[in-house]
Amino acid sequence: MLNKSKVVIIVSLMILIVSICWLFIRTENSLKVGYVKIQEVFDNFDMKKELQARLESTERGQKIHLDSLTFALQVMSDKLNAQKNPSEAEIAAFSRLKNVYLGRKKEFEEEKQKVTNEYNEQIISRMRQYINDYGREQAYTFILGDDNNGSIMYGAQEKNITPDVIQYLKQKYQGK
Amino acid sequence: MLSACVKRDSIVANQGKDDKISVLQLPSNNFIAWVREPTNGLRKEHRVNEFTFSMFQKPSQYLALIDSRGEILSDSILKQREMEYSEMEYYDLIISVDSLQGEILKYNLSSKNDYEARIKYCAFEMQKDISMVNDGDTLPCSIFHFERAYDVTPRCTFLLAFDAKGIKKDKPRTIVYEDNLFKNGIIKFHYTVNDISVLPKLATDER
Repeated sequence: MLNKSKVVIIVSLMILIVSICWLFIRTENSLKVGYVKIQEVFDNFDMKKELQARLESTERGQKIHLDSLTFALQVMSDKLNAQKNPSEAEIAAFSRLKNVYLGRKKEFEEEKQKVTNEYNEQIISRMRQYINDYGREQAYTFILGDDNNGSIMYGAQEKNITPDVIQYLKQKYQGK
Repeated sequence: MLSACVKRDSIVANQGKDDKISVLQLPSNNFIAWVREPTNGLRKEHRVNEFTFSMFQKPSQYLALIDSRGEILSDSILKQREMEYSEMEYYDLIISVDSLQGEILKYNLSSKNDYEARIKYCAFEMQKDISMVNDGDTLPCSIFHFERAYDVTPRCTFLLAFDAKGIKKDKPRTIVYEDNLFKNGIIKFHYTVNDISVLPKLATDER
């Protein structure tokens, strides 16, 4: 027969173990963590697709403009080459057109860089905002970003919330 | 107000494919409160960083009531005003900044020229950055008015209207605003057909 003090100790120990287990489970459940593959979210974000399409359309227009200048330059160049002694006026005209071409090309490149940077900034800022909203709405403690640079070395597949986040971003961006 | 708490779902008692039977009848004050209540679907909000962009679709009945300025109008005059307003679809776009005191156009200015450029943009250029997408068609904003608030309120209000003739009523609308004022990019507000077409009825007995 166990004496009374031993019974008290055993019961206390059992209560302690149960309490520790309960605390552990509670902490585990209260920390809601997920991760997203940033590049995948970025590539599937409608805002990125729309702005990329717009950028490509502008680029196509600029290319047509540059191609027409290149063609005109080629025609003038052929004409000058065919002549033994081209006039100074013709050479000056060719030079002017060449400068126009180079100026436009530089202008377009600078504009493209500026617009690309502006768009990227807008897209990333919006992605960050929406992922933040998603985390708050779904009561996440942390949403980690996997950018393929070692920030997440391993993540269990069930913690990968990329498809849900992509879907959420789609709805949110469309104003739904 | 209690009526504003009445949810959209409870308006329609029997909604088939083609017929909508509106059962909720509200007196004018309650009707206005219902329309203004954000959870009833006519007021949409889009937060981008510290900015809040709100879109408010104003039904023609609501505009006719506002226009009466509390005066009790006869049913026929009210109907006539509703008809006039129904030639366009009216919206308010409101831009505000979290915890800002003072004029929003002065927010994060880099120079005085910047402030003038913003005013010029709001008054003359912004209209082209607003459109409605309806059944694949992009409709321009036909009427645009910038309601300048100076330092009175820390937000900007823009009154917008789209020609109702070009809108397919049985299709959802998306209002698209490309924010070139604060460079936040494209902001969209989606309205389902129900959002716009299912409204409580105005109780006529008080008029």
